[in-house]
Amino acid sequence: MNSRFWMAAASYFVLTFVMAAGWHLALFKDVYARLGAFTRPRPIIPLGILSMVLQAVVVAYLYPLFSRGGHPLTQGATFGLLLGIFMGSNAVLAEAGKNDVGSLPTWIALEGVYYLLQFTLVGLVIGLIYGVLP
Amino acid sequence: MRFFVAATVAVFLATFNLGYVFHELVMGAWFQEQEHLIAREKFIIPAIALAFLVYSAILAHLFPIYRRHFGRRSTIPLALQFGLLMGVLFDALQGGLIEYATFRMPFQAFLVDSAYHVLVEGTVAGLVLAVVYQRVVERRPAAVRRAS
Repeated sequence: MNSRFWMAAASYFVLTFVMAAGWHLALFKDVYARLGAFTRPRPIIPLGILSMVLQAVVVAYLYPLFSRGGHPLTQGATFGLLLGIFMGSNAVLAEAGKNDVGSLPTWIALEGVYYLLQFTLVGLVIGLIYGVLP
Repeated sequence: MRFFVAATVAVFLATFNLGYVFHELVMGAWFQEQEHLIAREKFIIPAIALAFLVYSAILAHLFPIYRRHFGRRSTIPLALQFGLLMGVLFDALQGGLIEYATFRMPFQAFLVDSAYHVLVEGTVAGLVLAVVYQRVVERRPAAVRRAS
């Protein structure tokens, strides 16, 4: 575990926290409220944070295994996009298939775009950290 | 490409059907009782199937890269490790903890569902990847493997 690993994990956590909170609790708060998808009256924030911390460690561990030495931005964005599709398939599609999430097209569009954006951005930053930092 | 197609189909068939057996035939009544506050009356099976297809395709795409990273180590333990790791990422953290934190899902339902997806589904996916990899990639002569 070198300094790049910890920087990648920390970046993942900070970016994901800011984006998740900004998207769900500020930018599109009213849309999610109208959907009525998140049925817990108050989300359990510490569990969300715990999940982000663990994901940060796993993703920072996985990136160097899958990076194939191209341009850091391209490598990072590709890795992030793949992860976004991977995680989003569960959190967007399977969730909608199982649970009542209100309007299906709105849920899929809103959560789908969120996952793709968030993971691509995180991938870009992790790519830069592993590809540019000494 | 042969590995990708074969592994995607094999992982999808194994995990999707096993998921049906576990969630509907074995534990269906229990899950219905636990998740009646959030679950749909009728699941949208095509959406769930598409999620599993994406899961299978991404595992099939990433596994050979992961496998090559560890050189001469044996394929089966590596594939099991990979299946469990991706299972943790796919379900325990995203579909599990986050779902529990935002949906009115009982804690025991989260535990049982996530344990299934990580331990059973992750193991099965890893084993299927290993078997397909051994049959499609490792049985080819070294010169052909290098060329592809």
